[in-house]
Amino acid sequence: MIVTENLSVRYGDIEAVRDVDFEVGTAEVVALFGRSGSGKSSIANAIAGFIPYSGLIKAPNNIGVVFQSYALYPFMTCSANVGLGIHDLPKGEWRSRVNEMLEFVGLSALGKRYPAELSGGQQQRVAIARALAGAPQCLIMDEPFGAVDVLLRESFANWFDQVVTEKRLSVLFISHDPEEVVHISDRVHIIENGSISDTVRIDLPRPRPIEIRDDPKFRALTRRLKTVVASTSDTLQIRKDPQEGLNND
Amino acid sequence: MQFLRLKSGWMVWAGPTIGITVVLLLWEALARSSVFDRVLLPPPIKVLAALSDWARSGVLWDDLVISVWRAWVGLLIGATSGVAVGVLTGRSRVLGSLLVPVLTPVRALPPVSLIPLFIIFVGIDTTGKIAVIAFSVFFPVWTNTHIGASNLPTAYFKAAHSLGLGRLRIMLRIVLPATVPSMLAGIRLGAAVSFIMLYVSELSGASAGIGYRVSVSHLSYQIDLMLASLAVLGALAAATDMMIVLISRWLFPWMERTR
Repeated sequence: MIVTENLSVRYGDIEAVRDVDFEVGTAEVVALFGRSGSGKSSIANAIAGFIPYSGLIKAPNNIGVVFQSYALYPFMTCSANVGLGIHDLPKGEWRSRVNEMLEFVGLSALGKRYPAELSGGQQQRVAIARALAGAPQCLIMDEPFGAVDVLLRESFANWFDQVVTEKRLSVLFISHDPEEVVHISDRVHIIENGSISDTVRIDLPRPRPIEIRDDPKFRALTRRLKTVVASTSDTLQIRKDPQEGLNND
Repeated sequence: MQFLRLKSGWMVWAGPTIGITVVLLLWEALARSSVFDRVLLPPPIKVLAALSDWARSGVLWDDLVISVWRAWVGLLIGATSGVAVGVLTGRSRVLGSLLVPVLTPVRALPPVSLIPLFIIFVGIDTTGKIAVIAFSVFFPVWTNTHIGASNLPTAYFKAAHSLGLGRLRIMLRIVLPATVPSMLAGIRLGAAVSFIMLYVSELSGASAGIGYRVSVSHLSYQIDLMLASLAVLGALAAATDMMIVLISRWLFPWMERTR
């Protein structure tokens, strides 16, 4: 379970996150949704312990993190990457845990390969296996499908829904993709200028197969989130002077 | 695809062989022409004969052993210290702020200009020569390692932190292997520098060595032996570089497989 109270993050004079309160319950997926630079990644970084913050964060010590860039180590095999966080286990136990995780993400045959020898989607699965290897109660996923193509994203969202259901994880999911967010989350907090501007409850049944994207309710929820993005992007549009470029003298 | 693989395997040997043959033929033609005096530019066959005499006399092996010892020990000391200091200055703000301002101006000095200092403080014998080589190798290795270690992706450290890795484990399991490509670039540069400095250091205070042989054959107008000595020096430098590449492929197979 993750709880934040009055969470704020500053980078020098810039207040990136301001008084954010939310909660991620057991076996619940909460999404932080917003445009790039809205502060959602700063919230995730503060909860993961990567950056200083003010306010209160209640979270277990053992949190798994999945990064947009995968953050796999290119000099380690997939098995070594997956098992890096469980180095204290005895060798036999370590090996069986790593194999179990690779099997869980459907990559049991690729343990001896290096990350660069895998596709983007496979690399992301290894990153998820690594984050889950230490059996965390909570998982933070910062734009986890941002670097994979659109088709793969859909099947990933479907697969990840099964992972969450099976592992009963508390997941904080960061994304700016409305379809992805609606497919995966139970609740969506919309982040604007470092604060929660709105919360949308996703009351779609689980598990959510890929066909759920054709459900009118799914579409309505997606449209609602898209409207939020569109309205915030309107305010950020740079107005061009119609005379610009004409007065050269 | 099979055809392409065969072709690339054939090219690995054919390329250098053709290149070297062409250079030797041009050299032979130039030596036979009246452009240069034959004493000043002996043909390759004469250089080969000088090399053969040098080998048969046994002196070549004495020269080789002492030069390889000086160059490799100097390279080993310079590379090891360069890697160690580079990782420390690259990852520790305190050590970086203390050492970088000291090392940067020293790095800019030509190592040759510091040879008199080494002669005064370390001596002119083999120890002094090894010290000069180690000192000269240190800087390219340090610079590359420092840049590599200080520019590692932040995500590596975030991931390590999230996986509960301590400082020592991060250093050993993440920083060191992640810096290997930069280290190797520095070590290969350092290897080339070590042979330049080997030659320079053997110009004075030596009674054996490849650099010494180049120098004495030049002074006695034995241009064929001088060219043979230079060829041996170049071959030794190339062999050392190849050895570093082969060892690194064996130690770090991921570098080849992630290319």
